[in-house]
Amino acid sequence: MREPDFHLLRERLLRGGVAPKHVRRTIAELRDHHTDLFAEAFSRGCSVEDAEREASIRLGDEDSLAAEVLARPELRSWAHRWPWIAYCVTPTILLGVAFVALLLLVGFSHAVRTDQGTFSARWGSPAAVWSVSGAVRLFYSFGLPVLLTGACCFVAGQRRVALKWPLIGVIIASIVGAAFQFNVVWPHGPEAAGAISMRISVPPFPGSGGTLLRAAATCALSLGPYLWWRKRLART
Amino acid sequence: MERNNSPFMSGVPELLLLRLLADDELYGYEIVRKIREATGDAISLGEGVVYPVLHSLEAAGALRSRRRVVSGRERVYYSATKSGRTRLANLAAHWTRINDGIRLALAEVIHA
Repeated sequence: MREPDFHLLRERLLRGGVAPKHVRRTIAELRDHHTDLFAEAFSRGCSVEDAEREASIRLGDEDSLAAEVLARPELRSWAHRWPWIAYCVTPTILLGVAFVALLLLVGFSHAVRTDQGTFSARWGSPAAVWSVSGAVRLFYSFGLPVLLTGACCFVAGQRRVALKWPLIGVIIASIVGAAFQFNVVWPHGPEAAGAISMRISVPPFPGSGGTLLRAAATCALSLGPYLWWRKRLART
Repeated sequence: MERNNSPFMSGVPELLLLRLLADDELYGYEIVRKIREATGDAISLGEGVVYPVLHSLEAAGALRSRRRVVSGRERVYYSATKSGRTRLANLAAHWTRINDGIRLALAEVIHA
């Protein structure tokens, strides 16, 4: 039995804003239903070709199936209803949340170490301490914005959203992510003081060149693969 | 047998689905087959149309679904919830009123 091709229906539903989970489920159920219809027709004595044709007719054509799903706003995703919140605001808010979480994590882990007085045994040389500080700084200034903007593009791609939303969202989150610079100086011993600092560097203030460069790199790393994928999808 | 998805039929698929699923746990293909049997082939939906209605009713809390493997195939079975039964009672009362009104109107035509 040849299965019907639901690719176009899937694309229409996703572009119409239907939540991906509903699209996946609808397609899976339609496929199963088609198999049952085929089996029913075949068991009545139809040839394979006739059974396939009858099953497809009874299931309904792509237009009527798409119209019926798209007529139900309750099956649309919230990201389709409020794209500016999903793609423009959420990544930036998540950056802020991650900042607070990271701050708490750093503070908490330092407090635990200081209380236990086991700093030297745990962390050993200052070089190791420096690498932890560097990793935290690198993660917040570069890794996290790339991760969040990448996730934004992934979700937008999954939902076939208009390009402008992830584009705006990625640019905003990249600039905010690059402008906030988070730095942790871990204490070099149980008695030494550490420091957590944060600075915002935006044009035209000093250091803004680095901000723009980081923002551009974040944009390129997340938007590059996304734009390539969109172009590929448009061709199929 | 004519397929009927006209606007006048709006609400009918929902009513029929809730009626069937109030008593039984069924999957899509079975549901459509039972609708045909229950209505004496008078109402036949485009069969794929049943799924968006099922998903909407589930999203509204009127139905619940669960996956079951039967004869090596995984299927999604639906059944009515308590809120679905209440919705069915309201819909049934509504359609009974419409039905009574239409019967009255037709009786006048027939006796004229």
